[in-house]
Amino acid sequence: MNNFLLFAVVNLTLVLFLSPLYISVIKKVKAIIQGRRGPSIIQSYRNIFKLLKKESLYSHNSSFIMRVAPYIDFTGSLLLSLFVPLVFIPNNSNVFGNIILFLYILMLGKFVIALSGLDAGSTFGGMGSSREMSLSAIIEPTIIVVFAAVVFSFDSINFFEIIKSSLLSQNHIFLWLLLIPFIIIFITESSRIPVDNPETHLELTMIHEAMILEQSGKNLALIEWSSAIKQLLLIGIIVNIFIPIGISTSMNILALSIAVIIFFVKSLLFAIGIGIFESNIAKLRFFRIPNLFAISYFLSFITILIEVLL
Amino acid sequence: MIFYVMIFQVSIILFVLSIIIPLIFINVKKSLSRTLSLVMLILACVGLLFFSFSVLMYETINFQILLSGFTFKFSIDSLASFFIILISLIALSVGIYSISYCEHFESEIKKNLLVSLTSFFILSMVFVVASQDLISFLFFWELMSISSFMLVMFDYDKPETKKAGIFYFVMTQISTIFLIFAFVFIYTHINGLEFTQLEGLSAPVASLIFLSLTVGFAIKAGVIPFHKWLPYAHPASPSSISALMSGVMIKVAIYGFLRFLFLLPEQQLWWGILILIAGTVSALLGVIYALKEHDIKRLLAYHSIENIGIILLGVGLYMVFSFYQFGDLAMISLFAALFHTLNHALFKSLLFLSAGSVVHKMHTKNIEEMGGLIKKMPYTALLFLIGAISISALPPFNGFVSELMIFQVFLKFSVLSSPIIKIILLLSLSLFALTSALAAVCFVKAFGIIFLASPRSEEAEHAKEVNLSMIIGPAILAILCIFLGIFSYQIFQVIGLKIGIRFGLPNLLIVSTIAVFLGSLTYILMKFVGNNKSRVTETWGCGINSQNASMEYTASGFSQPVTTIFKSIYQPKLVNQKSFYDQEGTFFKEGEAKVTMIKFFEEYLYMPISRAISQVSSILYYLQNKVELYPYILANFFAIIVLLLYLGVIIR
Amino acid sequence: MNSLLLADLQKILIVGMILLTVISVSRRNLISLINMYSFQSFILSLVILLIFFEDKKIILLYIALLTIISKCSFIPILLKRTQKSMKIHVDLEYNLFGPTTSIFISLLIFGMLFFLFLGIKEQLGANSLNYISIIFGMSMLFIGMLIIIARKKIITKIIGYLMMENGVVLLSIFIGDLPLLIEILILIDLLVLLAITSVLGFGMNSSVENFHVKLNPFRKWFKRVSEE
Repeated sequence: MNNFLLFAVVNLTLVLFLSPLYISVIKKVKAIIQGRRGPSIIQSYRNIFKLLKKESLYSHNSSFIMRVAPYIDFTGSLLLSLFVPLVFIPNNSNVFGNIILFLYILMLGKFVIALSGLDAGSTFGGMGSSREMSLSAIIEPTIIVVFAAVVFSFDSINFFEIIKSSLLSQNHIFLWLLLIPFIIIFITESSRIPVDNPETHLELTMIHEAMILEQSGKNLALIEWSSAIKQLLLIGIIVNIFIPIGISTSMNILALSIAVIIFFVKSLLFAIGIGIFESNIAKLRFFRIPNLFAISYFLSFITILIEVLL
Repeated sequence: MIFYVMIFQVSIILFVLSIIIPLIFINVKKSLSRTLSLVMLILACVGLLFFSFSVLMYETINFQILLSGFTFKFSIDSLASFFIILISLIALSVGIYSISYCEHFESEIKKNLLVSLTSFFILSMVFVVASQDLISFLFFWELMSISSFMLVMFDYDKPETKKAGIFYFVMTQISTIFLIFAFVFIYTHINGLEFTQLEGLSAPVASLIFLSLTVGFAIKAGVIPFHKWLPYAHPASPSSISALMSGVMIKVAIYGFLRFLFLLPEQQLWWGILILIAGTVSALLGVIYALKEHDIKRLLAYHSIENIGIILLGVGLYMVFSFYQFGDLAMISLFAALFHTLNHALFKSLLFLSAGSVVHKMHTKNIEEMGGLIKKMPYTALLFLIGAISISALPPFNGFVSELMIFQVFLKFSVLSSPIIKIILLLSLSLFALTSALAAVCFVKAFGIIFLASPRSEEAEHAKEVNLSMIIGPAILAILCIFLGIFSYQIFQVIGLKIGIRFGLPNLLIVSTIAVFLGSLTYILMKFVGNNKSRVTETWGCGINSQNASMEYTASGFSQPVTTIFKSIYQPKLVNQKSFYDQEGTFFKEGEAKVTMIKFFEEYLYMPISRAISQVSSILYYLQNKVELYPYILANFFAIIVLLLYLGVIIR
Repeated sequence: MNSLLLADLQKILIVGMILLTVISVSRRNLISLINMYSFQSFILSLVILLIFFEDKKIILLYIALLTIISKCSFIPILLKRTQKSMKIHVDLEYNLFGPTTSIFISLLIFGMLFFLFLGIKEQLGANSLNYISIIFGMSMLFIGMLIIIARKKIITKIIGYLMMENGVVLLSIFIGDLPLLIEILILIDLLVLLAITSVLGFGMNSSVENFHVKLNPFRKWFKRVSEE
């Protein structure tokens, strides 16, 4: 119990304070490659504080959904941060860490935000909601097959046990093939190029941004923060399943600090890699995205076929 | 125990009274008879609930009813009492809902008839579930079909209702034919009528029985490809009846299937695979057809097909895993299927009842004419929202728990040995995940277009909230949805599903408590840190001053990405005809632009069969009616002589 | 090096090869198709090099070098030069199946081959790599055929054919006899050169259907003969 409490406190602190950093890092990397200076690393923090100080505008047409949705989304993200071990693996908990519960709490966040997109009665909101929900539906088979492969290799449906067994055993080289579908899943869930452009100004090319176009003030701050938290958690999952060095299983202060530093380095490298990847590729036309997902489904299906049947 | 049997008998008497009373006072203008009958229905359901819980806890009850020389044998064991709980819960809320719903029909006769037939329908379903005997099962099955047919044809003035009713009647009779076929085989095997274990069946005979039972129950449950009657029958019937049919009647078909499945001890592998594939196809095609619908009740009907597919997935998994002797996994999948049956009954009835309130106030079923109803009908909107969240399988409501259990069984697919079965399970798993995500898409569309944004028509502007009883009825179901979801772990502990707990089912109570805690922490923090001012203003419309309803997203627009992505299943055809006054094509006269999607099963399965039957029957008509009388008598005479010769001479 | 690690690396590389084949079923940009082909040949030569590290037969090194020189550099450069002289950059039309449907059909092909050869898995030895290479080689063959059938422009069909032969090479590395291998390689490369020359003659823009147009003048010839 103490184990889990420490884990919860460490994780919540990490995600709350570290998550906006990754957004700025990726923006900075993209800016440097484009030859500009780009916004400073702490700009995301400044954005969130600025939004917190502004007043919220609601439309005539909106209902309680628009007022409640950001809180539900943010609470969902905070709950999700109790599922993924970033620097410390607690003793096994039956309650948290379940892969399928993780997936569906993600979907709950999308559901309420999509509803709030339709709430204000604007065309952009409806467009964003419909595109986002359709894309999240089509990436589901890939996610499930990838999760099935991970569950089969590490023989557990709990993130804690998965990462613990990835730490202890080293013979899952073939699982590195799953890195590509994992990256595609990451891109979809955090709405990055090539699926969606998080920095676009044209509403017709927005997917995630169009849903939250009507939000303002502290509601928008909560939603931005919650997508930053989800992004950090997905980075944490990918980085910790494939390169689990440095995670500590004991409550030692020294081990924890080393784990924090190593995780910071790993995830920053991953974020820089994502930034370089995003700068080299263009956003796909919307109806070419199922193509990409079909390829990732093919890859994950072959991987699990070879894993399971041979 | 005697006490509980007395409660059961009192409930049955209350049921019978609630059928008879409105029929006696059929022309009286007061609503007292109907309210009295519905109150009796409600009390009867409560009594049945108590009774079934006691059966679950203590022991099986057997009894008989003697009626005009026939002995109907009934036996209520755990499976039957589970389904009786399901029936009585839904009937309870439908009863409360009908108190004000039945007042909305034109004539007194119709109102009284609706109430009486509702009770009759529910009573026949209870007796089907309780049957222990082939004859009583069939008798009450037919009573259930006939009463539901009369209820479907309730608004018999409209032509679409007539078509829906006749289609439904034909399909249900075909289902009974298959059931009788199977029953004949069972009767000749056991030489008796009671439900006993069918030992010693040879494999072909067992497969024949299994197949005809499956087809019979699949027609009634709405499994693809026998599903076409559902989208016609459910929208045509009154809303309380749609809730009963969709929530309860198709579950009674599942009950029948499970009951006979338990009677067939040596199951073959391909049975389980067949059910698995049928479940996957139903689930996927059900939700894909639901996405293109803009009639709220047809949308919900297609979702029933999808959820029956999910239940059959669970049953198929049970059959496959029990064939390979994995008892634990088989039990979990069976429990998941049964739990999903209960959950689907709850949230589907909730959705149908609240959709019925909306349809009643809006006088239209087309969701493209609704909008902004969340401000006019807040309670109905909240109930529909709870139903929508449950059916999209989002935590912590009950739809999520049953789908979680099915997912967890699927993720253990690697314990099986045969590679082909593993591949089938993997494909089934991917399609199942796709299904449940598409269901969420469809319900964002349904809830968003009906309730959110601003009204799209005059009717929607002037809509008002419904009466109290039409809110309390579904509210019971909504509370149960939330309760069953959050307390699922505790409920499984009480039932004794220790396997599930060892299996890793998460304790949703703890998750919800921590979620509430974190949520309130966030709220308090935001109150202190954030700016609390808020202002109500216009929606951003790129500079246009006043937005009107035509700028909102439409339902067809919302489902357009999915319909384009799954183009090969919908096969949309665009019809774009224009006619002009002049030759150069400048003065537009009239035109038609239409997008039609293929009605695959109707065009390629049902219509060819019905055309073939029409042709055969027209030949027979010719034979029977167009031939002259005297040659007809002569032919009969010759037939009798041949028969006499055969019997007398050949068989000595 | 650890042989298990080597086997895993080889498996990953082979999966990479088939992934590139499947991606080219649905790619429309001609330059990226050519790049994918050269990348695929590079991966093939890496696989051959890894086998060389294990088996130490010098002939494998020569084959790998030959592959790199001819398939990764020479043929793609030739193709790109011809593509630059034409004005075409994309291949937009599909014959029978759309892009996403083609990907699912390739998955189906792969699955069917997997099951067809499951019966002889034990006879291929303890190393599952032989079995994988058969399956992947043959499915690259069939998916290459799918590319040839489903796409319209000739350049895409040529890329499909080249990927088919990559699949053949993959098959024969693990199963076949070595001296025969070099002969097959040279023969196939000659055939490809022939195909490219014919493209230079007809033009990259042409699809198979346009051949009817080009043969039209000869129709009048036959008509006049039959009228006489």
